[in-house]
Amino acid sequence: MKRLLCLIACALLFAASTAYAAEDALKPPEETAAAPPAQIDDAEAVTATAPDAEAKTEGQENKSWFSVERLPSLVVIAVLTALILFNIQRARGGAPIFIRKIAGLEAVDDAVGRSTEMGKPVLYIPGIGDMSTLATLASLSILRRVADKVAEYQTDIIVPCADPIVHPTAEETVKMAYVESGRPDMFDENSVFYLTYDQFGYAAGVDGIMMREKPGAIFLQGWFAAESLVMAETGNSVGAIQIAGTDQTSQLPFLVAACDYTLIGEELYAAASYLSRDPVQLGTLKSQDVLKVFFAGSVILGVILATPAALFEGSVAETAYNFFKMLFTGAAG
Amino acid sequence: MKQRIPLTISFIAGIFIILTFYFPNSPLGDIEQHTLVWFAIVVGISMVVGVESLVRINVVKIMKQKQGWAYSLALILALLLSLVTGIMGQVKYGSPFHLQSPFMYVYTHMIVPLQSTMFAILSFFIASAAYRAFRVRNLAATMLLLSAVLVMLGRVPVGEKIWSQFPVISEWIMNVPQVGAKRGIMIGSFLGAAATSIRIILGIERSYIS
Amino acid sequence: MTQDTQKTFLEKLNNIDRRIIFLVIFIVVSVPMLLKLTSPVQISPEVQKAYDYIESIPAGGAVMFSVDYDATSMPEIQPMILCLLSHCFQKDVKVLLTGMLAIGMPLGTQALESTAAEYGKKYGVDYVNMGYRPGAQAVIVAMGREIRDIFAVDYQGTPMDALPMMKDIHNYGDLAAVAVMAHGATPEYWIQFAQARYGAKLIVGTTAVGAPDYYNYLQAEQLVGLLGGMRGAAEYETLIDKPGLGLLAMSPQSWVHLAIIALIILGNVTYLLTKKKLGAS
Repeated sequence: MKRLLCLIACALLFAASTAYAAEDALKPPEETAAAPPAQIDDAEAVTATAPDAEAKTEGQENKSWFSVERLPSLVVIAVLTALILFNIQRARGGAPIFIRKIAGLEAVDDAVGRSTEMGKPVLYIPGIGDMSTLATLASLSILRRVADKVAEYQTDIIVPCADPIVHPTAEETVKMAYVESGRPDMFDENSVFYLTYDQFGYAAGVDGIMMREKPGAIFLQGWFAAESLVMAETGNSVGAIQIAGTDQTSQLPFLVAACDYTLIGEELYAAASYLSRDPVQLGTLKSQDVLKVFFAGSVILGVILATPAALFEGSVAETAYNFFKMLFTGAAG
Repeated sequence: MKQRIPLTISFIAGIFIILTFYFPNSPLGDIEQHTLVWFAIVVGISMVVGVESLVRINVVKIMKQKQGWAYSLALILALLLSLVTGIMGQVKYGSPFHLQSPFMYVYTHMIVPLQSTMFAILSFFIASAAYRAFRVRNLAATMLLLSAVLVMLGRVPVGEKIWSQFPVISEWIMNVPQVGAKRGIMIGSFLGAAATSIRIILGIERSYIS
Repeated sequence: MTQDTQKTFLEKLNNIDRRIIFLVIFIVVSVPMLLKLTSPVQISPEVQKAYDYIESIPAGGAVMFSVDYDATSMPEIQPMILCLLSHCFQKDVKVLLTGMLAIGMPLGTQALESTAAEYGKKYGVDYVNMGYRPGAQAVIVAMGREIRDIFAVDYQGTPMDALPMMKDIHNYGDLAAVAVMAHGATPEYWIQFAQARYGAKLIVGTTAVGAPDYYNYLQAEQLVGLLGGMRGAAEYETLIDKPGLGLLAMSPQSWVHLAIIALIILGNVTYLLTKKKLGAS
């Protein structure tokens, strides 16, 4: 553990020192700042690049081996990794970790229980994202917890998938929940299936399942786009209890309007840790909170510095603001 | 062992992709370029996995004449129709997407109207959800209602005719409070996403491999 | 008795049958559409920015179009791609077409072929259709270094190097802009990978529902322009003085917005009256 932290710190220091030592690594402001649009008169030019083309593409103009403008994000990743490892260690040591109540997640047991009492299946919709979409991964973690409950209560679950790679993963997730609950015989391999990757074809298919099966509980967890309301409204019309969750801000208003509970943004990522109550998982949430406080503080400090910088051009305030900005963007100006 | 191999692959691939972001040129950048091409190939092949699942489930449904088997039959026939017309287009015109290809006939006269219909349903659902959800229950709900009405009026010509300031107010709502709230949620979401990625790379989060 | 009847009526109105709402929406959309009423629109700053940017590209510059939508959002996005393509061809800007959604590619192909024919443009010299490759994120990142690594041939199998237009086009650095026409998540991929990583200039054309997601990127200058929904298309049609489906759709959109506002008011009046009656009883 300590060795890993030391390694991260060393890598950071090494990267930072190399980057700043590298010749012309940090471009002067006038080179990186966007030039005003300019017309190129040479009509014979086969191709002309962007009118305000300042973009230095990789492998072209910028040949330095380390990308210095990306250093701030490397620092954030390293700090977040270190914080996660530190908090996991703390959690393993028995330190109490507080997590606020999330109403949508508290209702999971009730929703599955209600379906069981009504003799209706649970419908779990993992969204239309693929496996490289983090919201889908978070959704699969939640599916695991929901499937645990479903197996425990001996209820049916239906999981229609919109992505061919999500499908076997979801199938394996549900299957493992049944196996670990000691009821592998209850798992129906036709309960998790691939529907279509087409957005509204998927919505049509899911709506059809809702109308035919009349599920008692519907979970809409993952990555959604405009089809979210089509599914949520149909779910609402069949009288199911609906628990939604997405990090897609444009879909949140629709889900809030049509569902009983909605997990907003990061609550989706926190859900798996929340439901498992595993201290190791909860420890990672603490790390996010620390960084969130840091970013909120940075935004406030940025506003404080930017205001006088805008009012008094060329002053110390502007220099201070530019320096502050450089810390986050890796480039001055 | 069943878990160790995928966890090791996730760790190596994750660290490698992170490194290529900070060391974008040769040799890491070149290797990354190859892995991206492989990724595209793997995604293409994964479609076959999906089609296999789709065909298996629906064929079983037809064979056993389960409830709704006729829909499954329609699905299998539609799948075959797309496949056959696509192959015909490829053979005759070099691409199924060539404008004269028979696949394009199926596309224009079947897929386009069906898909458009599905999306059009959204406007009806938006209206019924708005009727139900936009109620003056409390201060927050009232603010939501007012901003929705102002944006709706500001985004259409009739709003401009009623009062020329509606578009200005709408633009302000979209550019200031909307963006501010969204940024707050986005920062939280991206931190959650970054933490999830790190947990996956380090093997702490492993529910996806069960 | 009267009070009971009123209460029942109010309750009914409060929980109105959604099919009545659907019918109202159907009427207010279809009537202005059948009457072909048009309404002029004011130009918003985000569309003006997109127009100004394309306007400033010199002749011979190249713009890549990514078709990341399908027929579901065709009514909103197809008018956008048509007017952006027209603008590019009017300015003798070369066009590359690709897409991250296989089922949307035919729409892009139709738009490109019809617009190119209208302006007398030649395939391989003025425009190229690269086709579709799966794995959107990987494709977007890989094109940042070399387009040929992912698209060795065009959509009909012609090698890229055999097309005269592609002679000096290798990556985003050789493109004046990328116009992302999308209804899903792909503009975010383009912003994260093509813009943030390779500095590509992006114009996003998306559905009205999706557009609010991109205002923050526009403010942060990660986008050079944004077209949202039919309104965005109508504004661009006005700017290039080529009225089309976008402008035609403005009148039904006006009426449907008014209808929804009326429904919201009705919903609230019944809600408040019901609440008042329940409080009194």
